[in-house]
Amino acid sequence: MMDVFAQAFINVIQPASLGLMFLGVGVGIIFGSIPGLSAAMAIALFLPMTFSMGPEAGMTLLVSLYIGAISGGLISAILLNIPGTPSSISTCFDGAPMAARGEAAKALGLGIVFSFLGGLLSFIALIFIAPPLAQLTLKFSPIEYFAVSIFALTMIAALSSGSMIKGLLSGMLGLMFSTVGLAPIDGSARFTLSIDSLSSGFDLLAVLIGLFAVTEVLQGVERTLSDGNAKVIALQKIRGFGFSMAEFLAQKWNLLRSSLIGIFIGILPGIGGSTSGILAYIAAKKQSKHPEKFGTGIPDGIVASETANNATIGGALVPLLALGIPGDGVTAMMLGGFMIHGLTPGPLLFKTNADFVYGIFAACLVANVIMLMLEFFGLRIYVKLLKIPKYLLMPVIIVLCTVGAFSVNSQVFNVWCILLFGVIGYLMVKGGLPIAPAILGFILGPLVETNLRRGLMLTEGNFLGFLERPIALTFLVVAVLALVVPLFSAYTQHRRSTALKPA
Amino acid sequence: MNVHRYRDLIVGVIFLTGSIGYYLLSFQTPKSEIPGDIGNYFIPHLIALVSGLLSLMLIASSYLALRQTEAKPQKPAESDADTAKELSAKTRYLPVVGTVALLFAYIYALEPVGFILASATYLFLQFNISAPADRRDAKAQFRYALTSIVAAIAINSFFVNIFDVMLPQGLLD
Repeated sequence: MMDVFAQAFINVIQPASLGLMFLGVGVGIIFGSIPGLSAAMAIALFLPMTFSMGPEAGMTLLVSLYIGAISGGLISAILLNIPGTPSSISTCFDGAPMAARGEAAKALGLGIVFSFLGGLLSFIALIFIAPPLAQLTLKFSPIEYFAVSIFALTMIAALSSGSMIKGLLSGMLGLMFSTVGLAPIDGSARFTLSIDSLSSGFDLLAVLIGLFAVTEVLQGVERTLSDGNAKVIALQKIRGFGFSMAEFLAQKWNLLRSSLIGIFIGILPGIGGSTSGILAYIAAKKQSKHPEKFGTGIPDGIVASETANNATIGGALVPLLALGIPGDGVTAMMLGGFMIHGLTPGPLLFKTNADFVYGIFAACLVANVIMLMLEFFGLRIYVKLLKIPKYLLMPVIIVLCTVGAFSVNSQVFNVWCILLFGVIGYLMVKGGLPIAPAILGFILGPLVETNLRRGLMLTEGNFLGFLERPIALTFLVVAVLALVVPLFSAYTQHRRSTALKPA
Repeated sequence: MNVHRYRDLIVGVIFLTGSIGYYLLSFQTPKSEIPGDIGNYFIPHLIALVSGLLSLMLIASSYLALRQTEAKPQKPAESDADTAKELSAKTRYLPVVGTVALLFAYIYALEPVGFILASATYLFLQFNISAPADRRDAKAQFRYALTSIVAAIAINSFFVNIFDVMLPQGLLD
């Protein structure tokens, strides 16, 4: 293992690879720092560019974008009091008050260093958790894969923000779109409406670009009219990282606790960086000797939020690499990156392409260091970029989306698809439906159907045979509980509130 | 009508209609000839059934919620506020509708006109749709025109020369 990892590390620090990582992290930070742009959008735009690259270079670029974008959110959270990405919501709570009283440099320094440390600990966890988990999943049959896919889909729909019914409906919509094209197993055409271009189904890239990037641009167009000129807080001269060694050491337990929260939340499908940041913030407040100071601008709040949201990255990569199951929208994009190069993440990848998997681990560690360097030395440039008006930025992103969709197979049909899915995504947002379950449904649909049909062939058409396998049974039971428990608690809450009302 | 108030009901009805349409369309799928296979219908029928049931649950819960709200006496000031909100919603959504229409024209023109010309025109018009009203004077128009041309040429050169992407050249071919 160490030999493969050392070789992967040497490959990653070659000039061409380092150049790609600087580009990815740099662009990622820009997308993360500008409110309205996101990590998912950055990856959606750059996915088509990885066509002309090898799989190692492509994944290196995507991982770098992911790390840069999640961390970049802290810049606007502290200087504008607007989170650049949802992951940085809780960074605003203490970052913005610190900046307002002239401690912006210290707040940014804390955010940058603890983002780095949170990321570092999560990548170490990824390196130690993913390979044994992949080893375990080697024994999975189609029945277990079916159960895991159902589990991931149910969890993301049930745990997505807002109503659970809407989360599930969004997942169903994704499943419906996934059935367009050739059916698995026998290859019959379904739902093609006699349109030749639909015979191979909707292209994953067009769906991803449409639902994430175009939807966000349409929302951005709506928002630009109501947006005032955001006031960016000026930066003072920064010495070092802006905080002392004693202040750093005072955060050691906060660092450890928040990292563990971030990694754990990342591994669970359906819960993202925003939740882990808030949970770590609440945990830090509960454990603090001075909880009343939280929200007034204290370092502990920034440390908890930024450590946890970056630690989520390594955690989220565990199910993606070990099982081939994405846990959220961004990792769904990463799965798209694998698929473009004909690779399927999961246990077999560890066996057949171990050098490639360890290359991703090495890229995560190096990109994390690059993130620390770029955010520290390039901070003033990113602050200037915050001032670019969104009404100039969004249309340019649309043109980039068009190029991305067209480059899939040089057909305008895919560009029409991004418009279609962009409008669908926008209407979903307006209807209060979350987007991520639809993406997961679209990606997991063929996996669910193929493994169900293969599994039923194994059990000779007996559905109960799925419940005779312990791993499959566990995942299916957890999936059912994820649906039933919130419904039951809502029902008891409703009963309690009606019982309390005077007759 | 306050659309926001009936949002969940509308979403439920749209999904129910979609589920029925999807169910009916699934019958056009040919049967699987593989022995022991559950066939090509099974998953689509299951999806249609589950999403139909979920839609009915959404319709029922939003109907009950609406009945509860209507049972409470409404303040007259609220309806005025609703009208004001709806008016501002119309001005909010107009740029979105304009953007979708413009995108439709842009994609339609992409192959015959070519990437550079279509993109520069799209960018210039989109800047005008998206920019706040006080930023549409002659000086701003010059800046938008310049940005549109430079961005279209730069994106084309970047993708064609560095990533070997074949973009439609259209009239400039």
